[in-house]
Amino acid sequence: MDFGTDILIALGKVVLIVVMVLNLIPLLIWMERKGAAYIQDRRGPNRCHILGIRLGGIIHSLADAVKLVTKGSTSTSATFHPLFVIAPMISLFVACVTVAVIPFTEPLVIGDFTFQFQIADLSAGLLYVIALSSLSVYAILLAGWSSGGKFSLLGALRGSSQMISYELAMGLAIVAIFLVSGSFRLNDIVAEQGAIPWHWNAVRLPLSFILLFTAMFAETNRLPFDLPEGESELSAGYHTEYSAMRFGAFFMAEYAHLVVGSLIVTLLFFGGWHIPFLSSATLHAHASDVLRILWIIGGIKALLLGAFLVRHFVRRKGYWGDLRDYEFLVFGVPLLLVGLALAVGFFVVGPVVLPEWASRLLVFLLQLGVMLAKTLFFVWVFIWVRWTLPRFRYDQLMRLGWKVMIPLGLVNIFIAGMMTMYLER
Amino acid sequence: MLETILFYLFAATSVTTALLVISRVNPLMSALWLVVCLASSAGLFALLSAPFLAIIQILVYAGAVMVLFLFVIMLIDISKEALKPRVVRFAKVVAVSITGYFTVIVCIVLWRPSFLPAPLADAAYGDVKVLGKMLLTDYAVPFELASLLLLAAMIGAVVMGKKKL
Amino acid sequence: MNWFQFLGLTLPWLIVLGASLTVLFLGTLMKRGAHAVSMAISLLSLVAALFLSWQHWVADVTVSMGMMSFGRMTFLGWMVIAIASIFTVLLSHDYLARRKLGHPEYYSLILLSTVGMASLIAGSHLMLIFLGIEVMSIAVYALAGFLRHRLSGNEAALKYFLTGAFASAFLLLGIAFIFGTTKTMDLTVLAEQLPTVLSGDMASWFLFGVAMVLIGFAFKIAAVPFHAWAPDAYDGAPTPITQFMATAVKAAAFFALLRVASPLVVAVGPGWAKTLWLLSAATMIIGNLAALMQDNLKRMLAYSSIAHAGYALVAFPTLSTQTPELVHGVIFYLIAYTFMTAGSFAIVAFAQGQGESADVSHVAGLAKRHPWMAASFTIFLLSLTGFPPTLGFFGKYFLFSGAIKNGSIGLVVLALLSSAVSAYYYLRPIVVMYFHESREGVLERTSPATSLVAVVTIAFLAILYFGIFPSDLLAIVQRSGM
Repeated sequence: MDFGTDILIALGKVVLIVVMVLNLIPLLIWMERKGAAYIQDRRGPNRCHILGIRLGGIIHSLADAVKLVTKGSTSTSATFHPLFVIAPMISLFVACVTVAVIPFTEPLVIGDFTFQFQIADLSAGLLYVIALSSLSVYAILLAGWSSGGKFSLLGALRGSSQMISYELAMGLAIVAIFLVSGSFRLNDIVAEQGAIPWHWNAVRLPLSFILLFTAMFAETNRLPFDLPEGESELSAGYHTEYSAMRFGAFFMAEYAHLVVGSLIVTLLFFGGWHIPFLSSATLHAHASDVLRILWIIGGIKALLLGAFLVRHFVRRKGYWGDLRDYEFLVFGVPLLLVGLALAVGFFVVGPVVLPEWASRLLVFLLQLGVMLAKTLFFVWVFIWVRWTLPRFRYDQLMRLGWKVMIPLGLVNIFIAGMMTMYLER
Repeated sequence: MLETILFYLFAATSVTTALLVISRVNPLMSALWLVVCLASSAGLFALLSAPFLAIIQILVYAGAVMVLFLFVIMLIDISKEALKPRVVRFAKVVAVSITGYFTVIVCIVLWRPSFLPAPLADAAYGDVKVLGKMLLTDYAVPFELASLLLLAAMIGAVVMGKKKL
Repeated sequence: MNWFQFLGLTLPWLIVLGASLTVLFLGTLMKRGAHAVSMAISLLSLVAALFLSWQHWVADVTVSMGMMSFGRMTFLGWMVIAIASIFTVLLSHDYLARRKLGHPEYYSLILLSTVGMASLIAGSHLMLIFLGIEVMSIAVYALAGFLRHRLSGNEAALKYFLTGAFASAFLLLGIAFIFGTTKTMDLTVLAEQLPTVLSGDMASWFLFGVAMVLIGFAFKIAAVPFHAWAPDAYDGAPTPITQFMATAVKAAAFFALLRVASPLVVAVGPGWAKTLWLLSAATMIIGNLAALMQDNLKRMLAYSSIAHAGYALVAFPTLSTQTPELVHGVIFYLIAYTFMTAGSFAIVAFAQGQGESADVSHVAGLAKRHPWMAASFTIFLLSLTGFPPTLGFFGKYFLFSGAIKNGSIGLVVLALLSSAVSAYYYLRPIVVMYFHESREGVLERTSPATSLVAVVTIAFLAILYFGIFPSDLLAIVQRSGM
């Protein structure tokens, strides 16, 4: 492979992964809104539609995007422009760049060809993540200061002091993982955990997990740590003066951080791409069986869901009296068809044994799916917590950070050290 | 080839931003340029096959130390008047001494052109494990002393800063 | 490397470090009585350090390990700083109690600073020397501003800190250049490599590094072009800390400079000897002339301390491994200086009373109310001037005779002339004490605190005893080797 192809592949990966993360954002916004609605016992977004297709409210996210892009950006006379413009960019940039070292799966090896779904496999990968996430403080700090308003400045000061404080706890929590894993490379950390759930770091280092996850909330500035934008006292904190896509960048960065945070938690504590009890070797050996099982499960699911949607359509016929009535049908019928096709297909191609490359690819995709599923679960936990817990008071926040989490982090390092000395080696 | 290009890129950035640091009137901008300067010197470390040092440089200096700098600068309400360049004696002294310093360096370089040797780069150089082992064996005493230094600085800061001891 | 032996050798300062942390913890636990307890703990630990250093000195171990080289010289240095710190702690108790500032952090910082000095004295590796200097200085920066509600206290801390940080940058840059050219920071290895380096093409970079290191040290010992911080820092700091800065900090810096100078600065060539010559001459002259104009006792002693650094520097232009008498002269001088300065500052602290002003008028009438105090102060000042039969005289005598033997006659003549000038400002407080009437409201207090009297007594006895029998002290110094 020559230099040019290398660069092309690298660029392709960058585009692929960044687009993937950025495209998750509207989905997450939808997830957040629906989740909030579910928790608060209401329906959530359900009005926006394109030709009657509402996709359960996802269209709202698209509408939001259009709104944010087309609105005009405002600023006040006290604004310091260069930094005001740069701040949201830093925010989004840092959030996206962090993804570079995240390994989504094991390397795909087909013959001589190796493809790793990771932009850069750094030996100090995890440190890179921490280092870059520590830079996201600048976005908040600069946004708050350059806005030239008191609310913004106060929000920025709160936000940055909070992030610095919790960064320490986060770093300490991660040190324990280094001790147990013996490497900074994210690939090694995941590989070291293996496929057996009680070898995952969440079980081996529960304290570390709790500390890191808590610190992640503070780092993403989400409830219960969303003091920088405490509405009741600071209107919107550091982004009070922002509007349109500049605000949008902050908004996107928040969700991008959410994704990255969940990815990190998955990788560090929940075995990354490993499927419980099924190591990669097992999967490779029985790829055809795995495919059959997946085929059956997929077919049954498609049939059931299709049937459910069609039944729903039949039951509520004429409820709205317009195009919206047919929405369930639009999804239900194709699903039924897909399910049927799968069922028929199983009898046709079922006995076929997969070739080597196909089984590799299958495992690759499967692991990618598992990784993303785990990640989405943690994203949901983030949302769940946000709509469940009330906000901390500022002094409580600081006390928690400095007087509880940091000492616990030190204790945790000690425990991890003992573990590595007496249990592992 | 790529390394040479990157070296000149990082070197040029760090020198330019260092100049910007000392020439900006607004301390906030100075601090921000310093962040860029530190980041580009981290790039230089990375080129010298010390990735750990590079990342720590960003993590500690850009991510923590400079944030605190900015924090303080933002809390001080600097008026437009105070930002006007003033001619003070201290600045003169500093300027003269630094000019002298560079003159000396330039003279030395012109007088006997020689370059500092490149560092030895073997495979383990800059590796985290090797570094850690060295810190806790050969360099254990300075390492512990450095922790004492931080302790002393911390107590000192509390003593100076706390309202009521 | 035998860690147990290392821990045994550094035990004096491990005890001090432990005491420092204990004091800090007690400060958080105890509400009342923390001051007395922390002072007692600090004192005990320092006395223990002194005793153990003495034991090491007697045992005469010579070994290098862990970037430190231990030998009688190291242990002697440790004893000097232990004594100086004991004086500081003793002075502090009364001083702080009067100002209701008795915080354990103060003692903790003093102890940390002494630990830094100890490693500075023992360090045979430039990295360790740098870290030692920093630990020592950072603690003292904070201590210099301990009178936090006084503007001049803040000024002292800020000036000392800024110039000190600047000096550290020079030192570090110099070390980086030396390391870059020789690939070593170990002083013994460096001394061996010196001829190769000096004849190689890296020589100019190396010399540049040496110059930077020299500048860094010159800041720490307050030699003249780099002395400007000293008067303000000495004036604004609490008096015991001023004493600490003048004795312990300076002694530690000189011990380290002796270690660094002989392989580096002096062996490099005559050009550097000239630089040191100029440094010494300027320090003596400017220190003494500026001291003439001071009405404030603390500022006067600050300039006098600059001048004394100049005297000690007289030995340096001709210093080498072949001139033990110069090294011994400097060390003897440092010990003498420690005693007389500590005593003088004790009297200044006493004269200050509750206030912060240290004007010379505060000692007016001291002879009538506290004749012993006045007598001791007289002795201290005479010793600082260099009158026989005090310790100060023999300090100067050994130092200058050694310098003459090695041919720096011009410098010695300058030193003698400028110390003749110094007689004026040293004798002035004596005149004020004995012949001026005390002003209303000054010195109304009845008796000095016991700890203060202890400092004065120890210093007084030491100066007189060693002034009459200087050979005892000289024997200790000479038996310490190089």
